[in-house]
Amino acid sequence: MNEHEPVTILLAEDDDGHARLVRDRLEAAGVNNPQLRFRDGQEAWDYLSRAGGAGREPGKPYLLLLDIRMPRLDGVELLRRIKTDPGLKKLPVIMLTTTDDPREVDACYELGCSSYLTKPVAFAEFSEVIKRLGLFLSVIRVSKLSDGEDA
Amino acid sequence: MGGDLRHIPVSGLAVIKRRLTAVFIVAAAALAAGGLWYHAHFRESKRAAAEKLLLSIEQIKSAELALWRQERVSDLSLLLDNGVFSAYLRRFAASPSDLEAAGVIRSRLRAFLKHKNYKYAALADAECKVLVSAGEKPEPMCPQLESLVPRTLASGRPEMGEFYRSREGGSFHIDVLAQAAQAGRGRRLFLLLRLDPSEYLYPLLQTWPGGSETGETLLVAREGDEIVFLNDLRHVKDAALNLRVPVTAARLPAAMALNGFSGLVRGTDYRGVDVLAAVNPLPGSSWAMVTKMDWDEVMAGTTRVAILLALLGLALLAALGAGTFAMFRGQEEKAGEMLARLTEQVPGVVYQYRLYPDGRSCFPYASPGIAQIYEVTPEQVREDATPVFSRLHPDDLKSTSEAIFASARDLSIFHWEFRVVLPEQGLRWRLCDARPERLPDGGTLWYGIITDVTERKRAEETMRKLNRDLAEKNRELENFLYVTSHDLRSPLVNIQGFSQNLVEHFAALKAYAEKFPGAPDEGGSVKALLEEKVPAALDFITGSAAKMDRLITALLRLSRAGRAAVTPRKVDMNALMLQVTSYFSFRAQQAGAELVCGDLPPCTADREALNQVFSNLVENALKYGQPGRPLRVEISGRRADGRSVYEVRDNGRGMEAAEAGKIWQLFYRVDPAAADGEGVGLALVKALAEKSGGSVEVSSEPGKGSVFRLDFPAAKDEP
Repeated sequence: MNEHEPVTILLAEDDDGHARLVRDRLEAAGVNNPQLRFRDGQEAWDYLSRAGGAGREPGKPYLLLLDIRMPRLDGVELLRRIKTDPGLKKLPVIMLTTTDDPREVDACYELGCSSYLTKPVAFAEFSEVIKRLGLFLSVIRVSKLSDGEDA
Repeated sequence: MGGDLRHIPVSGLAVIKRRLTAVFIVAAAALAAGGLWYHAHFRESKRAAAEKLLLSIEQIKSAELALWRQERVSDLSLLLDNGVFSAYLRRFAASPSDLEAAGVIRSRLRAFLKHKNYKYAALADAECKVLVSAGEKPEPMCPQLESLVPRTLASGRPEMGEFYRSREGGSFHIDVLAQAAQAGRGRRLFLLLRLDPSEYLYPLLQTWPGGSETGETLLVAREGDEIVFLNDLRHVKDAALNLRVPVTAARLPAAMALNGFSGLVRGTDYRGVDVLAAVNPLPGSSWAMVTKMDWDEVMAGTTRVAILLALLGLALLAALGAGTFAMFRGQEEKAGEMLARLTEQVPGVVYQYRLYPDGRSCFPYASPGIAQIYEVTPEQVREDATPVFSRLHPDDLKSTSEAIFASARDLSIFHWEFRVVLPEQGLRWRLCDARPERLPDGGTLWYGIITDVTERKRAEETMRKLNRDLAEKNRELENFLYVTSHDLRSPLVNIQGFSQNLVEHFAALKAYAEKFPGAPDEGGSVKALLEEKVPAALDFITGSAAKMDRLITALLRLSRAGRAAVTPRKVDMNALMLQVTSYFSFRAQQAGAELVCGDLPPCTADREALNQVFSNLVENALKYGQPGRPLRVEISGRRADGRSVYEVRDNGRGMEAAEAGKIWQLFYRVDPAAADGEGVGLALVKALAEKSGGSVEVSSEPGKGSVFRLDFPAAKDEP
């Protein structure tokens, strides 16, 4: 295990524009971590749940930016699966949403998301969050995910 | 009329029946008492009349009898008072052989007999030997003379003897005896006049003034222990001196008379017949007189009168009874007619239903409406309710029976909706309401009404379906609103995000261009682009996107309000309003407005909804003040008719009536230039108020201000 191994940012977002905007903002904020984008929740779940092969690599740190409204498998359901999966429940998840509906927010926190960002992601605001996230990513040791291994 | 009204216990009828029966009984009793009284009075008067008659007859008879006796005595006295006759008598007394004197005496006696009603006259000595006689034929002397002689001697005047009937001849006589002369040494002569009572005395006794079947007068005398009847009797032949009755016969009027009683008696005569009698011992004699009449004759006619009276009474009673009955029937018919008219007006059937302890049941009464309700006639179910139960929907039969038994057991009101399947009408709904009563036999009797509720049930069904549809539509609408808002946001995020990118990129371009001030720029078009056109375009894009963002946010709020669950409970409005006013106090201060809140009654609503409603209204009022006038917003409330009514009144700019109707529409804004906003607040107010069981309306006057009036259910007394 490498202490300075960069965290891989996973982005589950069906809208290309949104995905691009998120990348732009991350770039603008100086976050250069490896990124992987999934077009919907199902794609992201396939990647996360299939250890090895085409899936994630055990032992590497990840962070998931998760859009709520997506076709096939939506963000809330994906979050629920992650948080009930013993091997994935430590994965930090930041929810991305277009509304600030309190019930939706509450539901996500209840399921165990780490943070919550409202689009449209104004530059200053987003940068601020991402900067903090970047700081978080570079300074705090993110739990490594591995099958069966627990902290 | 369909039913038998005798089965209807109309309580009024029962009272009438009781009263009429009482009247009938009283009248019958009065009639019977009157009849009896009249009859007794009638008998009494008959008796009094008979007594009066008997007494007067008795009086006359005894006077006549006394007179007759006196006359007989005076006849003898007159005969003896003659001086010539007396002289011859004396001569004859002195010398019994004086034939001349005897001849004179005989002729004198003959002459006397010719004029007077005696059958025999004789001159006898003290030994009762006949010396001279005159008459139809010689008569033997009778033993009683022996007692009469001393009596005559003792009294010194003529004496009348007793009735005598000779054993052989069978003829009657009464002797009158007087001392005729006395000569020398005690030789005495007695003059005897003998008369036949049947010639004069008996007719005298037997004549009866006025007709009478049984009336008679009789003379009796005592002879030893026996009573002797002296005259011939009306009812017994040859009774005179033959008929004898022991003196101890207690109820015999004759015995009473001979015992010295005088007056009216009721007794039993010699025949053993009940009689009314006037009895009287005759003064100066040993006789007593009885004037009597059969009791039956006295009371003759009273039986007929009694029968007539009874018949009259019966007739009157019958008439009375008939009248009473007719009156009762009249009342009953009236009640029946009224019931019939009423039941005709009642939709459905009015009925009695009787459940016997053994489980049988019937409809003792059913109005004609049963033909429509069950398609049976009242007669068909009067004895047996089976035809009705055969009409019940099979699925409702069991539950209906159970409900009936439950009502019978608890004597609870029977309120039941059920289905019937009728030959003509098909499937119909029926509603039954009935009150049970326990019967003496342990059964139960219901009084009730059954109505046709098919239309209502169908309407209810339709309404339920409509409500379901409506709720479904509402859910769909809210969901639609929610989904569209989210989906609208998605492209908007791109527009906003990339226009921000464009602004950034353009700024970089502009900075780059400014490094080359000498670059060729024909007509200054690049400069115009950089300075004016592109920034303006970017401004419009970002402005519109921002506006669209606000609209969508508002829409989301509205849809959220629609989806939110409301929990109505008692809300302390004063506490809530304190919260609202303190929230807006800073803004009110900034706007130079006065925010006033009166004492508010509590109401029943969702607290959060009320918070938003009043917050929106206050916010609205603070936004639209009339320029040049200090704004005042006043909140007041009162109770009215089970509701709590609140007002939010401002003296702001107000609006036209035409506008007031539109303000509840989504996105409608009276004056977009006057203040910020999306035109969602009032739509939200209306949605929330109505969802909370309340309502809201507005009245406004341009330039004067607006009043928003809210109405919620008043608070019940619960925590």
